[in-house]
Amino acid sequence: MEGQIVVSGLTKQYPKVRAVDDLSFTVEPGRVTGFLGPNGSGKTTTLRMVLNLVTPTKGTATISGVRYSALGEPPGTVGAVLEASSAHKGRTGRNHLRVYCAAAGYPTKRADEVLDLVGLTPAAKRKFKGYSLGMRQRLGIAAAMLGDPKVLILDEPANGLDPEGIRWMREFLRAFAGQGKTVFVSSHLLSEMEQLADDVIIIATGKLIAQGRIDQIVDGKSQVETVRVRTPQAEALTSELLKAGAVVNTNGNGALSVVGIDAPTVGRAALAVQAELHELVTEKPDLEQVFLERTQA
Amino acid sequence: MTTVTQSTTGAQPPAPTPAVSPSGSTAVRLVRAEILKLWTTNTWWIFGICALAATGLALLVNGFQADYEIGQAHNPPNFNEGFPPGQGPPPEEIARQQQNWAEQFNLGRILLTSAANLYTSGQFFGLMFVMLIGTLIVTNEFHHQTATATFLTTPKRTEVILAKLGGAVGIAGVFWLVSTIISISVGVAFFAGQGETNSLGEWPVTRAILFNLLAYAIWAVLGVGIGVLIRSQLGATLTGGALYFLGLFLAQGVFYLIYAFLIKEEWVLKAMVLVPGVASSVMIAPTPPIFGNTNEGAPIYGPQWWVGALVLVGYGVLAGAIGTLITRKRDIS
Repeated sequence: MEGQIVVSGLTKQYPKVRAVDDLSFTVEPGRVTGFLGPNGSGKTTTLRMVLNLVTPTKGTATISGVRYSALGEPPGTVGAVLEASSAHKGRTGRNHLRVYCAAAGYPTKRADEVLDLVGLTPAAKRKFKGYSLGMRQRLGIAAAMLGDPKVLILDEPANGLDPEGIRWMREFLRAFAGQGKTVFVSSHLLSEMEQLADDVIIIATGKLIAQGRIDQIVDGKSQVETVRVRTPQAEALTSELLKAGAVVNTNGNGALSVVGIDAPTVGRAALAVQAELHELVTEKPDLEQVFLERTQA
Repeated sequence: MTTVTQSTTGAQPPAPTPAVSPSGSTAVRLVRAEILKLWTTNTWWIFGICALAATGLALLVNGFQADYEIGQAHNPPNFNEGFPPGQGPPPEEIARQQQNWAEQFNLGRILLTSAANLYTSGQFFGLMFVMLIGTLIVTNEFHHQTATATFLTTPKRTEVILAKLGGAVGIAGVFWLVSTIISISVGVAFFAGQGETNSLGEWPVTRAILFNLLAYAIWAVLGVGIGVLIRSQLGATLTGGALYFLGLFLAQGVFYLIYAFLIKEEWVLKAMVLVPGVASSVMIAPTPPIFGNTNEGAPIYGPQWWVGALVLVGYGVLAGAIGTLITRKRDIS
């Protein structure tokens, strides 16, 4: 399918480590897919195998059904941002882009168009060594956009960005996916992914841990949903909750953690013993919790 | 999507970008990109100035040498001088000295050799500079981590390396052209001032000028090979420079030692042409240069120019092939 990334049985064996171990997943167009895993879990190696920069020991990776090396015009299909600092220090931002325009056969003015697209026009004639980290990241995106690609692949794009830069990046990627194109973005920052991604692929030590819609991944763990309740009549309520079949723990600050029954049941129990409620909250597990549980298992 | 707090730097969604379509053949595009890479950094003009200075210096040295030798050829010394009449060396000894001298300062040969020398002035350092540029064309990609972007744009790595070889040879050609134009202009003026023929159009001289171009091209290719083998910028340039200077002297020293102490055969000295630096000077020498002397004092000549050319082309092909194979296999990370 156009814009779909399919990874199948991908493996990379280095002399001492198996960086990626029989990894299979699919990335769909029109969505932002987060590629999550702790540092050193094989995310970068996987992305580089997808992009034909690293040769897999086993397995295949295709984009729109074709291996990267067999794409007719790679920059017209895939744009990738892999390192924030990937330009010659003494070259201006615009000249950096012109080099790749020349290599891909695009007209020189295309460099100015993509500079404009990422808001770097004022810095076009400045040398790369004077760029801030945020500007470098934007230049990377500008280079990735040269061929007007259908797929964007980014490796830890939020690394080192200030909050303003992160917001800019998020909006840019959401808009890109909004055009029906594919965004595949790796990160070890879970909070960032929760705000950005539609789907997530979680790996640890080179193996697939979970894959799917971000809300399903989180809800898939909802049996451990806890209800936090705070009341001056803690003892009375606790005995009533235990009767209802719940497991009750007191947490440090005087609230009760209730597992096994939902919030309405807790509320009815409180009404039954006429307990005064100050707080009644369902604590949804967040991606971070899921992530930590699964990657440490 | 709407953002209330749009930043000054413009967090705009990507506008549907106009469709771009590539033009031109891959080879032309890639060589253009390589030349643009060099053109948009300081490398080319820094090396260019160095090469011009080297050419100027070499012209000065070669000019003085030619002036001295031509002067000698026109003023044969009197081998009887300094001796009281009748007490000089015997006539046959004088005849032998005159004979030796006439061979050493044969005007025709001197004019050819100095013409070739002058018109290829700056070769010694020029070859090193184009070699270093060839090395930098490769190591820059790793030093500045642009190899990723380069191979993303062109996943067919053989094409990238061929473009780098082409770009390096092109730059080498420009260096050769500029230094040759300067050298020929100065050289022609020099011979006019001496009132001698400038030997332009003589095949050995034309051959020296043309094969000087081949030398520039091949050293650029060797440089690319070194850059592929040694990825570290500093390591590769230092190794290249050291090989060029020390390698030449050390390797020659080894051949002389083998000849002096192990195998007293002429072919040992002739085999010195296997050292790339020796090969390039053999290739552009109008007549085979003298590599050494036999015990009897007779000169041992080096091989013909085309042997040097073959050796150098061989190294160039080897460096290019190894470089391409390694780059095809290498993981870029």
